[in-house]
Amino acid sequence: MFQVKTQILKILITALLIISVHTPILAADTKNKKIDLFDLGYKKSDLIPDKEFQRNLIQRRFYLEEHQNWGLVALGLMAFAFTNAGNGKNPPIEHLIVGTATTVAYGASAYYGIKAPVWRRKNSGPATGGSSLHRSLAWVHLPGMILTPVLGYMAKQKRNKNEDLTNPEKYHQDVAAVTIAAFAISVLSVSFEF
Amino acid sequence: MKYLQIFSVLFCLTTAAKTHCADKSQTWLLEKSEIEYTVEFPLKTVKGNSKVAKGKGVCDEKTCHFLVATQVVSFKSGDRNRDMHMLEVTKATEYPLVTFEMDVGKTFNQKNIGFEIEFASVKKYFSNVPVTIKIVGNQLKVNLEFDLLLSKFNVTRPTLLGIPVNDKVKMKIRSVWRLNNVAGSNSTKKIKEKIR
Repeated sequence: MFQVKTQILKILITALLIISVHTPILAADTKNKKIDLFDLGYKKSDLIPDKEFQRNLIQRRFYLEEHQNWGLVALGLMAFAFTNAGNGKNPPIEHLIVGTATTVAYGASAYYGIKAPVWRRKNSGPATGGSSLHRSLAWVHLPGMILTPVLGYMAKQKRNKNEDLTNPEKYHQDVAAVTIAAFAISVLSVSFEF
Repeated sequence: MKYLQIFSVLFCLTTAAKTHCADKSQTWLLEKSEIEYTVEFPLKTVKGNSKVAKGKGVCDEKTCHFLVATQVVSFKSGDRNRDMHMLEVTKATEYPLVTFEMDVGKTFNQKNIGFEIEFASVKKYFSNVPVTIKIVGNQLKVNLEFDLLLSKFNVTRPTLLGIPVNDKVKMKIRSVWRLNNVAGSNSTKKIKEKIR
């Protein structure tokens, strides 16, 4: 009788041992754990607000908005200056005034475009898409915007002396046309998807 | 001898119970994903996407809880300047992540699901969103499309030449998940059995 009792006790102890060994694993497996961002592999540093970046973006927005506004004004004035140039002979005084205003507006637009801060840490790399074309075209319209008024001034001086236009001032209108075309494409490149 | 037999039976029973219950708990890992947004201006449509989302899903006996997160900075639209502006309007510097959280029935036979998005510090629950869930090999392919209103997330609509972008943004999510605790079984049948 004593032997039987001992055997039952042994079995019970063994059973309890087995269950106690397995139960914690069981419980751990069935518990539906709430996932958080750290489980996905994000670090604390990924979640900290970047104030410097924010400041940069706000500044950048201000400069680019001004760049856009002055650019649109410059485009309008350019078109006006081009259409009131007459037939190339004795343009009215308005042409000179509008031309000067165009140069000022263009200069303001260029200033704000160059001053806009570029973020070099995040999203860094060269400009892509429409912005890339927009930047590349500056190499065409910037020299054009320097040359056009210079050639216009030279042409005016010759006309005042009743002299015929020769090289290079006779190209004032052509240079202006190329400049307007490049500038217009530059504006469109950031306005529409080609 | 008898003692050994009882011991063996007990051991087998507990081991079987453990295995059975362990099968009920699963972990899904996001293997591949593409989160795409489409914004519309009157004269232009812009698409941007992020392919670096991280995600995990944990299932109990009945449901699976999924969490997917990606950095707002990882969305690329093909124009760096536009992406920078997007970061500003979405306040990505303060709230760098966009998260999707959802509970899905473990059978994965739903046609519509509900999920919560946290974006630009605002949490919104989307219900009854059509979803396509396919089990292919040892993978789970989940695709869904829905519309999101920028105004609901307090996002100032960006403008182009003074005209603001459409408030409605189309979202597409394509994701491929891998069951983490299936070792060596590649057949669809085995996976289907496992998720049951």
